[in-house]
Parts: sequence; structure tokens; C-alpha cells
Amino acid sequence: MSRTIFAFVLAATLAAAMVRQEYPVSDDGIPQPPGFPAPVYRITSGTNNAALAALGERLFEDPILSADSTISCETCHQPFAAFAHVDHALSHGVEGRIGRRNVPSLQNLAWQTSFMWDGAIANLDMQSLSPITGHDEMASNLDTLIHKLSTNAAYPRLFREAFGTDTITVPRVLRAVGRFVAGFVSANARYDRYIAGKDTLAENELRGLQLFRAHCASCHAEPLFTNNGFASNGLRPNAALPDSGRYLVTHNQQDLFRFRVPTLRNITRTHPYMHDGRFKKLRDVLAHYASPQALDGHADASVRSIGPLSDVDRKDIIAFLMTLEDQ
Amino acid sequence: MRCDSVRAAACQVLLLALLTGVCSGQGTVQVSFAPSFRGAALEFDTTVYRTTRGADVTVSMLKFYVSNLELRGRSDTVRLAGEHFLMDLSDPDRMAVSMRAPSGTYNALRFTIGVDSSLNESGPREGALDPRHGMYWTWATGYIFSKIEGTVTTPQLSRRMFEIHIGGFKAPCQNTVTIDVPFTHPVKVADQQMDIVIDVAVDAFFDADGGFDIAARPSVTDARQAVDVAPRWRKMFRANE
Ligand code: HEC
Ligand code: HEC
Repeated sequence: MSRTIFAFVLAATLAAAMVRQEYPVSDDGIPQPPGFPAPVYRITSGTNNAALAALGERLFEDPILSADSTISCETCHQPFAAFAHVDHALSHGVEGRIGRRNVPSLQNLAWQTSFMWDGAIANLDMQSLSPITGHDEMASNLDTLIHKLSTNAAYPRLFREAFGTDTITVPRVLRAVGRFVAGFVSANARYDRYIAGKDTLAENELRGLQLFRAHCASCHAEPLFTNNGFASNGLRPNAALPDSGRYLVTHNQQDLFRFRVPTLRNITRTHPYMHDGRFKKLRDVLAHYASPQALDGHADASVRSIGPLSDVDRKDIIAFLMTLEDQ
Repeated sequence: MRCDSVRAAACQVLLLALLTGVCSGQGTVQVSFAPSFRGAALEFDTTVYRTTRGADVTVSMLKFYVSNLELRGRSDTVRLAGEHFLMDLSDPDRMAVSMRAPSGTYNALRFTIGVDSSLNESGPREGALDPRHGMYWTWATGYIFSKIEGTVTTPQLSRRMFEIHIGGFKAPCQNTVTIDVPFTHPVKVADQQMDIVIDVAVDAFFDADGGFDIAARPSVTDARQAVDVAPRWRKMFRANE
């Protein structure tokens, strides 16, 4: 049940990383690129979709969400970096507080079944509660925040346009931000156009794709480049920054040091890499996967079996990963 | 949305049914929760209570979600309300819930302390479940079902805060608690409002089952830590008749 309209993918103010695209949209206003599964994300009924996304965009960019009005979502999730934080291994919040993890990119969240590196959050709308109130992030008190928004010159009108009345509540804030970030769609890379038969890949990129399908796609599954699961890709625990990953959520021994399989779309823009930002370059990442003897004991079998990759193999895989950059 | 005539007619029938229902056999039940410590009304903040384990405690907060309220008769059970109510027993305005119930004679009240698992994973909600009430773990998915907070002092330990936050909606940390409160005198629901007062014995939290070592565990703040603490809530409720 979807109509083709001009789908709002990203605001014009955001850099050319991911651009306005024409896709069919779901009844919830979420773009449906060809080949993608049905989105998991749903908006609540009774809202004006376009106004909701516009309100969400405004909130996403507005430092009003932080305790001292210095930090917005965008401070950490930079539009030109597929909404990751370029060159920052760990996140930086209010008063320069350093977080415990690397800022992930925000893409295709409408298809994601859990959020955060350990999947601790199950619902996209609920997710922004975490940065808004988090001590190392925006550190806001919710009562104060609602007061600030309600007495702001612009927000009551924007809430009325989105929700029908100008009452500002925490659930409304969360729904608007959730709806905005759910619209970050990456589906217009050279890879996508190659799959759609509209573009070609070079010899080395094609070889990279084959190697990728053989060694990486069991976790980084096409077309989202994640299977939405959790795995250990063999990183050794970081002694300076202990993080037991998925275990923190399930308390299940076998989840120790497992993390959410991240998407690899726009991966060239989202360095540094991994939950603690330990690798600066894609060649460091490939060197990691190609060193079976250096893998941590918890590594999943599918990572162990990658084995040493030749220099050419590594370069070709990287060449393929570069085709995942949105045009 | 436009209400067409068929719907309007249906609405009227429904309304009529409701109204006649009211006249022929419904009453109002108010369930209120009264906090106590060893039989006396609990005084927040000011009074120091000694637990059987020898800790001196003051209580500054007692909040919980109550849901799935049911009145149980000899043969039938009526569900009172589908909603979740947030009780804050330090706030006189947030100690009671009022609901409609069919007329009849009832022997027990049953309710859940906690939030249904499906609501934990769905999107943000207004009203009692609004995360603004501070009853949601923001770094992970899930409501905090109950909070007891205060201070603890022992001969070995200078005064410090304690916070017992219970939540957890998924096995193996499924920490909702079902409470059955039997009445010694059956409760009759008829035309007038029926008041049911439930005594919430905070002493039982600290003292039941050999006692809770609050000095050793002053901080319970996630579902896993709460697993062995949540069942203590079962001991806290009885009808005040
Ligand atoms: C101080 C930096 C910072 C700010 C400000 C911030 N975030 Fe994040 N964000 C992070 C970090 C770090 C993570 C990963 C956290 C983790 O895994 O524990 C994250 C994770 C996320 C995720 C989950 C992504 C995924 O793939 O799992 C979403 C969605 C998100 N942030 C949206 C937002 C929104 C919306 C805002 C503004 C309300 C915001 N963030 C503000 C640093 C920040
Ligand atoms: C067993 C599943 C699995 C396999 C197979 C796998 N990965 Fe990963 N990959 C992960 C997980 C899990 C992470 C996140 C690890 C962390 O941060 O602790 C990850 C992270 C990455 C990252 C960093 C992403 C980011 O945003 O920081 C890159 C790049 C990457 N993998 C590329 C590859 C390539 C290339 C291959 C094949 C050679 C591969 N992966 C094979 C599970 C896997």
C-alpha cells in the first residue's frame, strides 16, 4: 500500500551526502527503496507526517535539547558524515564530557530492530530519551526542557502543525525526533545503481563485491549491510575502556563482547571505526579481519574463517566499500 | 474524521447500553494505597526507622506502577481497568485510583506491580507512562516499575542514600509482581462509591524473609540486580479493613 510521491529523505540544508530521492513511500511516510524490506518503524496515527518530520528536524538541529543549550543532536551526528562524528573516537557531550562509545552513523534506522552498539534500546522514538537526558550527552532535565520548549517563540506552533494542538510533551518530542531520523535513507550509492542495472562497477570493485559476499555478508547483509544481529568480530576487549557489549543487556554469557552489526553504508565517511573508534582507516579494519591469529577468543566462527587476505584482496574489498557512498 | 449516520446510531446504542448498565448494576470502586511502617502511618523523610537487620532508614520516595486490577468474587473475576496507574505515596493526590465495577460481592483484589511487557518495547506514551515521570530507564529500554528511595545509616556506615529501582520485562529478568489481597469481609459494590484501602507495609520490604541488607545493597538500578528484590514487594500489601 504505497504511493509514489516525492519522498522527503533529507533536508536541503544537510550536505550532499544523502540527497532527496524519489522512492515510493510507505503509509507512514518512510521511503521504500526498491529491494529494501518493509520498514520496521511506524508513526503514531493522528499526526501530520510532513510537519512531524519538519519539527523533528528543527529539534535535531537545536541545542535547546541540552541542559546548557550548547549541544544539539547534530553536534555529534554530523550530516556530512552520514550523521556520525568524524575523527572523534568517543562522543563529546555538554561541558566537554567524554562518552564511552564512538558515535554511530544514522542511516536506514527505519529498518533497524534495535539501537545502540549493544542494542539496549528497542524503539527508535524512545532512543532520543537517552542522549537528551544522558549525563555525558545533553544532560537535560525533562521538566525544564518542556518548559523551555513551551515558552519558546516558535515551538508551540510547530507542535500544533504536527500534532493538532500546541501542547508540548515528552512523548511528542520523542515522536518528532524519531520520525525525522527514521527518514535518513541511504539507498543511492553506486552499489544500489549497479544492483538496479543502472551503473557498472569496475573490475576491482566487482572482485571486492565477490570477496565481500564470501567473507563479510553473513553479518553485513545486503542491502542494508547489517543483519540486525549481534556478533563478535574478534576485537580484543579494550583494557582502557571496558565494555562487555550485548552482555550488558542480556546478561547472557555467550553475548559477552558481542556488538550490534553496524551498517557499512557510507563507511568511507564515518571514521574512526568500531564501538570504541579504535581504527582510523579502512585498511586498519581489513588488517584486523585478515589476521586470524590476532583475533579475540570470542570471535564468531565466520570471522575466524576469513583467513589471511592478500594485499590485493584487501584493496579490492575497500574499493567495493567505497561504492557504498551515497551520491 | 467524519462520523456517518450508521456510526452515530451505533454510538447511541452503545451509549444507551452503558447508561442502563450504570443504572442496573455498576458502582465506583476507589482503591487507595496507604504507606505504613510497623502498623503506623509512614512519615516520609523525617522519621528514622530501624530495620530488623539493624539499619536506620528514612524513606523519601515510594512510587510504583499498578496495572491489571481485578476484583475477584466467589465464582467470577472482573477486570477493573486496562490502564496503568502511577502511584506516588508521598503525594496525597497520587495515592488512589477510581474505577467502575459491576455490582456484586467480592473477596479479593488482584493487581500487578509493573508495566506490561508489550508497553515497554513500544513507542513513547502520554499520561502515567510518560517518561517524564522519571520511571523509565533511559539508557536501556524499559520502565522502572517501582522506586523506594531514602537514606541508610548503620553503626559502621555513615548516612548515605539508597535507591531501589525495580524493572525488567524479559526473562530471565521478568520482574513484574502479581499481588493478591484477600478481604476478610467481602466488599459489596453497589450504587455508592466503595473504598478499598490497601496498606503498603514498607517495613515488610526491609524485614520480610530474613531481612534485606540495605546497607550492603543501597543501589539496585537495573533489571538484573532487581531479580531477587522484586519478590519482596509481594509481602507489602494487605487490606486495611
Ligand atoms: C554527545 C554526543 C551525542 C549526542 C549529543 C547525541 N548522540 Fe546519538 N549517539 C551518540 C553515541 C555515542 C551513540 C552510541 C551510544 C551507544 O551505543 O551506547 C549514539 C547513538 C544514537 C542512535 C542509535 C544509532 C544506532 O545505529 O544504534 C540514534 C538513533 C541517535 N544516537 C540519535 C540521536 C538523537 C536524535 C540525538 C539528539 C536528541 C542524539 N543522538 C544526540 C552520541 C550522541
Ligand atoms: C561475525 C559477523 C561479522 C563478519 C563476518 C564481519 N563483520 Fe564487520 N563488524 C561486525 C561487528 C559486530 C562490528 C562492530 C564491532 C565493534 O564495534 O565492536 C563490525 C564492524 C565493522 C566495521 C566498522 C563499522 C563502523 O561503523 O565502525 C567495518 C568497516 C566492518 N565491520 C567491515 C567488515 C568487512 C570488510 C568484513 C569482511 C572482511 C566484515 N566486516 C566481516 C561483524 C562482522
